[in-house]
Amino acid sequence: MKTAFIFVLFVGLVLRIILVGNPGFEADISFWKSWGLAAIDHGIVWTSLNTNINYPPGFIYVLWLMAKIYSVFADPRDYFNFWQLNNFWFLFASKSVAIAADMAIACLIFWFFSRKEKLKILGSSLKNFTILPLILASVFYLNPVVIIDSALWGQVESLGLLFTLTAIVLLFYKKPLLATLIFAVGPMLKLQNIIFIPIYFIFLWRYFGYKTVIKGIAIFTLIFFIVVLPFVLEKQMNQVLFLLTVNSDYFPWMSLNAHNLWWIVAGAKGMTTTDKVTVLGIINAKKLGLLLFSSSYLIACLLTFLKPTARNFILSLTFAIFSFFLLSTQSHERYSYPIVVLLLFLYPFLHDKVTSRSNSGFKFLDFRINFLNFNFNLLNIDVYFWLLYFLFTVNIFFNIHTGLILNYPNNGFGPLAAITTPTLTIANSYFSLLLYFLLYPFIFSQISVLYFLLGIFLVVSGIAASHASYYLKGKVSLTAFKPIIIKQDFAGLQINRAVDSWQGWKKWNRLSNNYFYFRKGFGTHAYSNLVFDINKKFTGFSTDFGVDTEAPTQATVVFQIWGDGKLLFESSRMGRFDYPGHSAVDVTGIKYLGLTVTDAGDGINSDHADWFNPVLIK
Amino acid sequence: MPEENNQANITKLALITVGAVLILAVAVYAAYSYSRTNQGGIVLPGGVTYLGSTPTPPVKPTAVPLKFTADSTVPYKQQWGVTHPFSFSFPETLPLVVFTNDPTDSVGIAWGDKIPQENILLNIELIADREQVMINKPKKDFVENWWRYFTGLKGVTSVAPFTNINGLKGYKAQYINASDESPNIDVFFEIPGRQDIMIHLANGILDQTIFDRIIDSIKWNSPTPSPSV
Repeated sequence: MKTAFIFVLFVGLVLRIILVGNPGFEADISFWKSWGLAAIDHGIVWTSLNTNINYPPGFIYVLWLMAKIYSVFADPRDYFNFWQLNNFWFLFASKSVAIAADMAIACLIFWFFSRKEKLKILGSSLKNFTILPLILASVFYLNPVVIIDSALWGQVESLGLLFTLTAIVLLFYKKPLLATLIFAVGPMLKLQNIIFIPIYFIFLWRYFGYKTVIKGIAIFTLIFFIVVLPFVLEKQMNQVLFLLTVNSDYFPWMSLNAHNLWWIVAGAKGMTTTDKVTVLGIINAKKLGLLLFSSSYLIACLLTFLKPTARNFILSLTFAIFSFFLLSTQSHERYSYPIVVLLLFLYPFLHDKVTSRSNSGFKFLDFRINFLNFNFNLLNIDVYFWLLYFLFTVNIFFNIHTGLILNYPNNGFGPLAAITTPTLTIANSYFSLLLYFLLYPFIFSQISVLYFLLGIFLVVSGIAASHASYYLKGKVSLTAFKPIIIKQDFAGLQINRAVDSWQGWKKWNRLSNNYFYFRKGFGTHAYSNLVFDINKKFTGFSTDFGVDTEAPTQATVVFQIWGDGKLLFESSRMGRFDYPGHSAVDVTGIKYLGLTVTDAGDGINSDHADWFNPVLIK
Repeated sequence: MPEENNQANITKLALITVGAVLILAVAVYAAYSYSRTNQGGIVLPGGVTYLGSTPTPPVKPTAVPLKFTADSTVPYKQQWGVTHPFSFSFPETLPLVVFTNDPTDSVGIAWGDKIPQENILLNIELIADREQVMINKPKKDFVENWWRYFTGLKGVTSVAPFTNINGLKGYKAQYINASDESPNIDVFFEIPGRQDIMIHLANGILDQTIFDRIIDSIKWNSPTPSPSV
């Protein structure tokens, strides 16, 4: 069987090498050239400070490695060859990292599932183990999703996941501290691996005890500081914080080509529809997505907490990452990639007939779906699983391929590109929703279905809390809304702070006018245009406005309020020493409320302008 | 016998290894050939980021502005837009670069003492991003007011309409900078059937003869409908 596995490894490698010549996702590759070159020329910290990198700090080491591999074959300082779109040796160098990770994961799968006794101890009651390692390793390694991601696109999902999977295996071998040491590297390479962190530590707690959790947290922290050591030595830890948070609202869209719930809502225009649009009452898409994801994530956590078995740990990770992909806005198409690996780790444990009672103590909640164990025989579980796995593969492959060809039509598979239409992408998004619910039988055969109701309760509570002020007080601060359009000619919009605060927390200033301070409002700078989707839910809008105390004395601005493109109010010209003005306007039937600050015709210099206590009235 | 078996195994293993290495080498060559079939050209990452050392040797500071020239015998080749259907010809000794995922479809010059991001030859002007109301106004108004979008410009000295040899209607404009000088020529072309965009070129470091030849060669290859609002 080992010979057969080596043959599969070889065939997969040849397939990947042939695809390496494809330029892949050209933007990713060209950024990696830039950042990798910076890393070998000037080091890790310099790269983070002098390029537009938006990956976590650990990934800079990978970029350094890519550029070093390239240096073996060609000179990265040969400008006209290095930056060529079809620079084969850079494609080879950059993709080889992920291809190596693919091979390592395949080997890990083969090795782990060759240990029959260990699998039985972990709860697998699978009868035929003989060819299981070969099948699972081959299904992963030759999976089109895995191949397109590493060899065609040039992404490194498999590298980040390799660390997570290695940690999982080490946990099962009761080496929790070594596991945590390796697990900690994953999120430092690919940020979406942070989704796994809470579930990982819950499992650590329930499987090994709280003392192990404390040690694990210490090791996790230690690895974090080892990875960011160059930043510590150069006193640039704020840059680490920046790299870890820069992706929040980096692409503030409903869906970044992810065929998920929000791709449907946006009508296949997820990449051009802001997630700040109001979609339910006065809640925007981003907030609602966060609520839906949180409730789904709660179920994933509860599963591991209540029934901390190997099976449920893997299932929780699978469900959590797919929930993240499906229910959050700003989701990338590749976020569902880990499913095709994690499901394979789940498979040997699905034949587990253990139906022990919940450990939660809430036995009255123990209404579980038993059909997988009760009505289906083993063959049917196999059929259900492999059908589900096939459907996930088709769904994820089509999604990733579409993300590639939408940007680079010539870099995908021609026949598939030819039939890809917006309608088909929406159909695939509904398909993703269906697949999400097809995971439920695995979950609710372990824990009570009533926990699903708990998830729904969480969503409803979140929605109710968001509307509490609207229904109970009849008014809502406009700061509860995020603008769908922000245009500002200097610095960035500040909420509840003056505009100079954009420079960082050391420069935070409260909103003020002539030394009178305000808790709520917007700190902006002329020329500024903010548009809010208030969804026709209000009748009135009142606000104060004025030039901020921090502005130089020559500041002059004019404030305007717009409703669906009509001017509702315009202030007189206001200067640094004018007291705040006040305006109350009727916004009945208005969907888009606009707040504009002009330069009063004399240029924008010094024009720090504030909207104080902007309130919408029901 | 065991020795013979061992010998046979080693021979078999050696043959398999050689075969595998040969197949891998063929795969690498196939991939290399495949990469050569893809359109080349220098593609830089978007935004301001690190690009390594400058493509040309450092130029000693001089009072005379640096100008790119080319002998009249240098052949010209075609450059196409990545997302918009424009094309133009340029001397093959002039290194041009494009940027990934760039909505303005900018073409930069990788020559001289500036980085390509600061050395833009051509870009698509997205009029709505400059000022929404300009979309429905005559394009000459947009050209006359273009300086207002830049704090480094103070006014306009001249806007002259013209038509290039490919029939594209354009405007040659000179703007006043902060030093009260008008050192550059900016050229704008109207796009048939499109109110929302214009092609913009700036002579920058190019010799005037070369720039004029590029201007004359600008083409819009297929009229496209305006996006629905």
